[in-house]
Amino acid sequence: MAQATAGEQKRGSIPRTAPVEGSDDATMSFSGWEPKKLWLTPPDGGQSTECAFTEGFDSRADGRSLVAADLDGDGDLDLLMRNRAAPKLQLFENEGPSGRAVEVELVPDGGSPFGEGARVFESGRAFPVVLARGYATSVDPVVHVGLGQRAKASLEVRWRSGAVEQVEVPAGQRVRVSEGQGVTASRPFVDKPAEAAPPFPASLGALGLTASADTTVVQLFLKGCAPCAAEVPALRAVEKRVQLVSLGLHEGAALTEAAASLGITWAVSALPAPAADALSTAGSLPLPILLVYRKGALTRVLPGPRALEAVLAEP
Amino acid sequence: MSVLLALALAANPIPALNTLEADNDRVEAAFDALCGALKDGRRDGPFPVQGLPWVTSCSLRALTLGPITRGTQTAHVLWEVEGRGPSGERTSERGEADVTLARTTGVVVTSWADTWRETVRRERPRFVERAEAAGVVLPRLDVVRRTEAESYSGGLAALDVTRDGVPELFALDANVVYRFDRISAAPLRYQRSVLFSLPKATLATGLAGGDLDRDGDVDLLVTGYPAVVPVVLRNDGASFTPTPLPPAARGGFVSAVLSDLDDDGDLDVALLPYDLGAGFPWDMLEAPDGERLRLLRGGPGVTFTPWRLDPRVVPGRWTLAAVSADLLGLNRPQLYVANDFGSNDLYVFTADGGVTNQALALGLDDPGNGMSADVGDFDGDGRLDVAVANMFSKAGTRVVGAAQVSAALKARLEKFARGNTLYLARDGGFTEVAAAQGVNRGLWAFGTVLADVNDDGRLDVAVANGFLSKPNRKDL
Repeated sequence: MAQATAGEQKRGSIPRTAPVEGSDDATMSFSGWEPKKLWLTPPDGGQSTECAFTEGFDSRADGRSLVAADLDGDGDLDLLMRNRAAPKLQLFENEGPSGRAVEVELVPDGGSPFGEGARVFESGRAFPVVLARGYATSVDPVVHVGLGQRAKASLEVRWRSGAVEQVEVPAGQRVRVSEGQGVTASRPFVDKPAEAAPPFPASLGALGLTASADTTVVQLFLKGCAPCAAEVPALRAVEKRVQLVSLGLHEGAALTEAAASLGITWAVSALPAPAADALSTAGSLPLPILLVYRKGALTRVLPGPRALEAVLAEP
Repeated sequence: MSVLLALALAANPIPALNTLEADNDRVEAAFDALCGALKDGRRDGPFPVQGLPWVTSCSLRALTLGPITRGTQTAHVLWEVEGRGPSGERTSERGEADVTLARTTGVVVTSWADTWRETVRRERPRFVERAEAAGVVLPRLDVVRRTEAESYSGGLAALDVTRDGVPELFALDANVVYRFDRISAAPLRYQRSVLFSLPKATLATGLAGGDLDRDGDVDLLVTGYPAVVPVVLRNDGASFTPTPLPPAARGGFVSAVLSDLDDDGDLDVALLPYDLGAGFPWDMLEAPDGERLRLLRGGPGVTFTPWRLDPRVVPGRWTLAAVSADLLGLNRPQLYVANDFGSNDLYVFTADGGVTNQALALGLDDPGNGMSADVGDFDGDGRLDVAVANMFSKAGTRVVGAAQVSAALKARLEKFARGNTLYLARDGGFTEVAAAQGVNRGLWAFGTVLADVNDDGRLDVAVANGFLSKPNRKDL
């Protein structure tokens, strides 16, 4: 859901032009604005593929600590990141189609608490019981075992005492294994169905519009959005060559008032909420946005009108 | 270019470096203009991404740059473009290419030949960022405090201190340890409270969790900077009772690691020293002038005694992270320490307190800018592997490639610019495979963790990175 803002504005945000908190505008970045990385390893162990952006681990903040843990109890790993500056915390909730997994906590019969330093094996794979990982990060001594499509885990616990213990655990639960006693507690993961994704405005119809020309240019706007106002002269210049519509993040009288305040004199209507959500990243709609449609199908999304004439001139 | 690499190069002069870099600035400006046009919506540039309606991010940099000969120049480039496809699908396109540049007037790409290319598309992302909606936010600080805290505070923890199966979250900022208790799982919601504060003139840096008093719940250890006696927060069920470590433990530490290293059943403490205010070491390729790791042996009743360490075994380092796990299958953990400005360490312990450093012997020394470490069985062979965060620098790769220096120095510099490392356990040691596996280019990586985020049975690699972002995005 795109982030709600003050007053009558339902969604959207104006790009910040003010300096980032605590920063000196004149100072250059130093390995800054770096995209986070997430390499997924294929089941066959082949070369990993970088998927941070496509999987939504999408941030340009200066990341420091990173925790991977099941925070919502649904059995897959969420990511919590501590950044140098705002936003200092980012919580990436895992809503992907998860496979099967089990989580295991150990209770040793003496020795290091929680089995810290022990190892759990499953199908030949080793899982360490650790209390810290990564940078300045502390985690529970819980082992997370992804199972792919398998329905149960055949676990072997190698305790620090030297004892070896085998247990079988059905997928989809968190269990406690006590040394010499096997599974002494279990709890199923929370069933948490993913929310339906809002439809992307791939066609004009998704915006509630009908094509009345070969080319349609749709401007998104918000009251007080200076970059939106700055687009108006360029849009006026193409008004007679295309179908031109501005969609605001307002409703009713506020919509026409906001359009007038920006100098918009052509057709105006409200931006459907699902479209706003679909165009948003991390709950923020990155205005300015121009959507260009050819015969009702989306062909280009522009961050302003700089290339508009060139795009309209394309065959 | 990485400033650290530049300083390293300055300490080991390379002829004509300044001339090369001045010209590269012109090439980079031209590449930035090409990216800017692509993001603006133009598709008449050299990037092979014609079918992407919405480009939200673009990067183009030279990994090698040849001399200008008769108005032309060759380069090997790394490019990455991100955006949304026709149906809104998230799309990443990246690759490397051999390009030819016309250099008679400006910089014009005249030929482009892909040497490697990768396209990834997802109908919808696996992760959705919800910190603010979930109430996982830290309060605002005043400007002075904020600047200090941005440099020094980074600690984070997810620890089930209430033993109900739900991890509480802990984040440090300025001198305060904040606690977040989950009040709803769907939707995810947390309630924030202040758990503990160090003295106001100090900064809280790290939070380590473990059952220090062996009563079955998780206690906490808070480290600080610049001169702080770390404090144990003893979990009494309803509250935490602060108890400082012995005065000898006073120091400035980025964090601590708890582990029963001597196998006596009590957690020991590894305090990781890094003097963030000390500037740079005099030898950034193998710095001997940092502080030594501090180890405390845990005893009954939450008591700790300093562990006597031979400085020949435990040298001064600029330590940023450590992870404790049984890498060698000894039924007791070893401590792998990631150090900035040089080599890493693998400390192996015996029950009588003996310590040896076996990093070099096992091939885990990883010379570089070690920023963090994690362990896991990456290749699924039943042995624990090691992932280390380092720095990948496109500019550094380019500069080092052109450097006329000794083969030994060049190899070391290339290692420093290559990025994250991944060591797979093999018989008798470890083999580094990050580049071959395709997981080395983590940029300026800090927290790097191994986690099976899609539960397919294989560990994935997640990286928190980026050093200092300013509104002026031009990089040093």
